[in-house]
Amino acid sequence: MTSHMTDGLPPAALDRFEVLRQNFVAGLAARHLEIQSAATAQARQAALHRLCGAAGSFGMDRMSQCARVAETLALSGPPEELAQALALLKGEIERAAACHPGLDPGSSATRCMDCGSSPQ
Amino acid sequence: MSELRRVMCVEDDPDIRMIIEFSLASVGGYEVCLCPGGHAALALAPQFKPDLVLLDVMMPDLSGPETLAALRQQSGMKGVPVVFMTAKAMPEEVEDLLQYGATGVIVKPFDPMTLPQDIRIYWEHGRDIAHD
Repeated sequence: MTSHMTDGLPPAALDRFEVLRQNFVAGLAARHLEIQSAATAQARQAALHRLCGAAGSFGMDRMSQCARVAETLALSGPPEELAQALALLKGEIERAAACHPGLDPGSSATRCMDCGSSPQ
Repeated sequence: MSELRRVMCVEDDPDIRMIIEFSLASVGGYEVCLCPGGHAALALAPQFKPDLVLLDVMMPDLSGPETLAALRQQSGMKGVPVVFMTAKAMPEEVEDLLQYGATGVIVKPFDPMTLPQDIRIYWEHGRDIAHD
């Protein structure tokens, strides 16, 4: 999360945004499972497409970019490149989960590459 | 259509719906109607009477262009500005979307702090076209 996004918001709105962001992060494991277990390349592409848009709108730019790269490879990209893109995305998801409270404490991530904070 | 007050948002991803609602209601002060898909939008539009529709392109039930075409068949919706949201931002793709009759295209990911201003610009543009 880039702090400038919410500069100037009243405290109540800031709290509301933080709740939404935490809900989004809490749902990342389910999104990742959906991507991993997609029955078709089209379903995987659609899940990556949604994640790309959602992550970026919550200020998680690196995750959004990783999802976008994987999305472009999902239908007809070289399998090894898709696997690499999905591995990078998994790393970003783990970092986000480790960065934000109450989420996947077993992650090996060391810090959030978007907001820069350390794991809780 | 003298003022932008009511915005209908059609988006299948629940997290994006929530951040749009936050953006348009908490930041922008608009009255927002959230729809998870095109069919819901078609059902709710006559009652809600939106001043502007923010419409996702890729949705599982009805696509954005299909939803736009169906909305245009409803009385009272012919001149309402519709703005597509898409993560596909190549210039030719944006041009294709405008050909469907949309007033504008917002690229995802969007900045929730500036989205209310962005749609207002499109609404004013759409209003100007309607008055021409």
